[in-house]
Amino acid sequence: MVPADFVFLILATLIVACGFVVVFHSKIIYSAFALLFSFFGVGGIYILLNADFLAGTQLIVYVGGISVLILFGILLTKKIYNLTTEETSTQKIIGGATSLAFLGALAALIFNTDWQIVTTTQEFTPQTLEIGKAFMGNFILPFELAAILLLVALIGAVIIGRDEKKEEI
Amino acid sequence: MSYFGNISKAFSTIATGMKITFRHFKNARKPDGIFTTQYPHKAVPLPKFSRQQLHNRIEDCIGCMKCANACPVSCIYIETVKAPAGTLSDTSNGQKRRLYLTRYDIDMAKCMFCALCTYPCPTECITINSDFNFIKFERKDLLYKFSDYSPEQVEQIKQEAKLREQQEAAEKIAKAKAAAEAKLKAETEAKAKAEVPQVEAKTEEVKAEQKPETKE
Amino acid sequence: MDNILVWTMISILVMVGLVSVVGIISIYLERKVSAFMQDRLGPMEVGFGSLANAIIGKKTFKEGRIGLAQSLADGLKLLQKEDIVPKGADVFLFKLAPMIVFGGTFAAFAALPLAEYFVPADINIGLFYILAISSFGVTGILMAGWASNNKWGLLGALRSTAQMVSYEIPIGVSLISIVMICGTLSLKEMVLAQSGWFWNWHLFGAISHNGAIGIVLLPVMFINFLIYFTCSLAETNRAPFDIPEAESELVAGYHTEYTGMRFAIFFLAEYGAIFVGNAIAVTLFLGGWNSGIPMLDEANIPGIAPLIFITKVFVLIFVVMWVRWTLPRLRVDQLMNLCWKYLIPFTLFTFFYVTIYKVFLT
Ligand code: SF4
Ligand code: SF4
Repeated sequence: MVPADFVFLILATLIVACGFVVVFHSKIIYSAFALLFSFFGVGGIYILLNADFLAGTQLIVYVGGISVLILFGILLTKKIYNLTTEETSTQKIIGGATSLAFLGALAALIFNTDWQIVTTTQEFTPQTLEIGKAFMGNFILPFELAAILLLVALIGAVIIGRDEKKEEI
Repeated sequence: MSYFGNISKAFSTIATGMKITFRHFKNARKPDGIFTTQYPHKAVPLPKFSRQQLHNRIEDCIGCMKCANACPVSCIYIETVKAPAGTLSDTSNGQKRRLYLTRYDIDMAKCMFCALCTYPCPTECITINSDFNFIKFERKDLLYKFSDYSPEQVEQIKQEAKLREQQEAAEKIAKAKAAAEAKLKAETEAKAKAEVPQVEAKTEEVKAEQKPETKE
Repeated sequence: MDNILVWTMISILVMVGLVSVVGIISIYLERKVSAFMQDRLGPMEVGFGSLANAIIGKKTFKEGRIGLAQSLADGLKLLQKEDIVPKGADVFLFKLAPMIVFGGTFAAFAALPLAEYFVPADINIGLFYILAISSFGVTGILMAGWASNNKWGLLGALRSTAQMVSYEIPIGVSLISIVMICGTLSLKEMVLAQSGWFWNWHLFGAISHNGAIGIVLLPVMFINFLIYFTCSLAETNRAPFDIPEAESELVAGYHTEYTGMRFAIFFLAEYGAIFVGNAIAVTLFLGGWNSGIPMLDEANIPGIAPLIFITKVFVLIFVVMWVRWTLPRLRVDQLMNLCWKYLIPFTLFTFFYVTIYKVFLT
C-alpha cells in the first residue's frame, strides 16, 4: 500500500465515522464537533487530490467559519449543557425507504460512471494561479453574482440586527 | 471627536504610555530602578519596637497571672502548682519563685500583638520581639509552650503536690483534732478556770483556718 | 514508506522541541519584561544550577542568579501536578480540547520559513495554509470552554471565538496587499523577494519588485503592518485584547478549569500562537531571515539565517509584551468598534491603493 492510500483510508474513516456521530449522537454539541472533524477530513482528501487551495478554503470556510457558526448558535442557546435532539422518529417506514432509495441511486451512479482516472505520478502543481485566472476569466459572472449575494446578505444582516429604537446613547 | 482626531489621539496616548513603560524597563538596570527586596537574602529593617512574637524567659516567671489577666483576648494559659519553699531559685531581679509553672502557653494564632501582657509583668520576663518569621504548617504549632517541664514531670509535680496536700490535710485534720481536743479540754478546764485559756484556744483556731487559704 | 515515517517522526519531534523552547523562552521573557516594566525583578532564584541541584539533591552546581530556568522548573512542576477533570465536565471533549488547540499552533509552525533551506513544510500556499490552520485552533478553544462546564470558561470561549473570527477579516485583507505585490502565496518566495538591503523589505514599499517607484507604497505598507500587528494581538488574545482571558472578570477564560499539564499545553499553545503571528509579520514585512545587509547574508555563516529570523520574531514579541504591560484592556464594544470602524476601512483603503498601484504604476 502506498502512503497515499493509507492516508486516504484514515481520512475516509474519519469522515464516515464523524458523519455517523453527526447523525446518531443524541447530544447536539457532539454532532456539531463531529461535523467539524468531518469537514476537516474532507479538507485532507482535497490535499490528497492535489487541490491545495481548495483544501485551505475548506478549512477557512467550513472549519473556521461554518462549524464555528453552528457551535456558536448552539452555545448561545439556553440550557446548553443538556441540549439533546429528539431521537424518536415518527415515520420510520417512509423515512427509511427514502434514504434507502437515495443510497441506491447514489450507488448506481457511482458504479455506472466511467471515472476518469488521472495518473498521480505527475508533478504537484500549485492550483492557486489557475483558480484565480478562472475566477477572473471564464467564470467572472458567477463570481460577481456570488459577491453581490454575499454583500446583500451582509447588509441584510446588519439591518435586521440593528436596534430599531432611535434612542440617543 | 472627529474620526481622524480619534485616531491621532489613540496614537499619541499609546505613545505616551509606551514611553513611560519603556523608561521603567530601561531603568531596571540602575540600582534605584527596582523596588524589590530579595527577601530571604536581604530584608527591610523593621521599625524599632515592632511587635511580632512573644517570648517568656520562663526561669524568671513567677506565675503571678498578671499577663494572663491583662490580655484582651485571653490567649495566655497558665497553670501553677505550689512549690515547697526553697525548691525554686530566685528570679534574676531577686524575687522569690514559689510556684511550679506546669503550663505556660501563648496562643499566637489568637494573639493580636498588642503587647499589653508585657507591661504588668513584675519580673519583666514576658517580652515581645521583632522576629516576624514564624510560619508554621499546622495551626497547633502556633500554640507556643514555654513551660520547661515535660508532661511526665508535670505529672510528677502534680502527684507530689497532691501528696503534700494530703499530708497537709492530714496534718490539718490532726491539728484541728488537736485544737478541738484542746478546745474541749480548755472548755472543760474553763469550767474550772474562767479567763486566760480561752484566748489561747482562739489563736489556735485562726492558725488552722489560715492554712487552706494559701494552698489555693 | 519507512523513510517517510522516520522523517515525519523526526521532524515532528524537532517541531515539538521548537514549540516548547519558544514557549519556555517567551514565558521567561514575559515574566522578566513585565517585572522590569513594573520596577520588579521577576524570577531570580531558579537558575539552571539550582534546578540541577534540586533534582540531584546536592549542592554541586553554582546557583543561578537571574532565574533562567524558572519556566523549565514551572514546567516540571506542572508535569507532576494532579490532573483534575471537573465533575460536571464532558470528559472526552475536555481532554481533546488542549490537543486541538496545540495541534493548530503546531501545524502552523510547520510552514514557517526559518531559512532558505530550512522550511519544515515548504507549502506553495504557505500563507493561506497558516491562516487556515490557525482557524482550527478556534474550535479547540470553543471545545475547552464548553466541555469544562464552567460559566467563565464558556464566556471566555465565546468571546475568544467572536474576537478571533472578526479580526480574521482585517488580517486577511491586509495580507492580501502583500500577496498582490509578490504574486505568490509561498512564504519562502516572499522572503526571497525581500533579500538584499533592508529597504527591500515590504515594510518600506515594493522597491525590490518595481524599483524606486515602489517607495510610494511606504505609507500603506506601514499602515498594513500596524493593522496586521494589532490584529495578531487580538488573534492571540493578548492585551489590550485579552477580553477572553480577562483575569479580573473571567478568572482565566476558557482554560479556567484546566490544571497541570493540560494547562501547560494551553499556555504553550498560546505562546506558540504569538510566535507564529509575529513570525508571519517578520516574514511578510520585515524580510524574514534576511539581515537587511547583503554582506552579512552573503557571508554564509552557518546557522545565521534562522538566528536572524528568530531574533526578529523575538524583537516583535518584546513589543507585544511591552504593549501588554502598558495598555489597559478594551471593552467588548470598543473591540468591535476598533475592528469595524477603524481597522477594516483602513485595510480596504490600503487594499485599494495597492490595487491601483499594481494596475497603473507597474
Ligand atoms: S500581645 Fe496582647 S493579645 Fe498577645 S498575648 Fe499579649 S496581651 Fe494577649
Ligand atoms: S506577668 Fe510575668 S511573671 Fe507574671 S505570670 Fe506573666 S510572665 Fe510570669
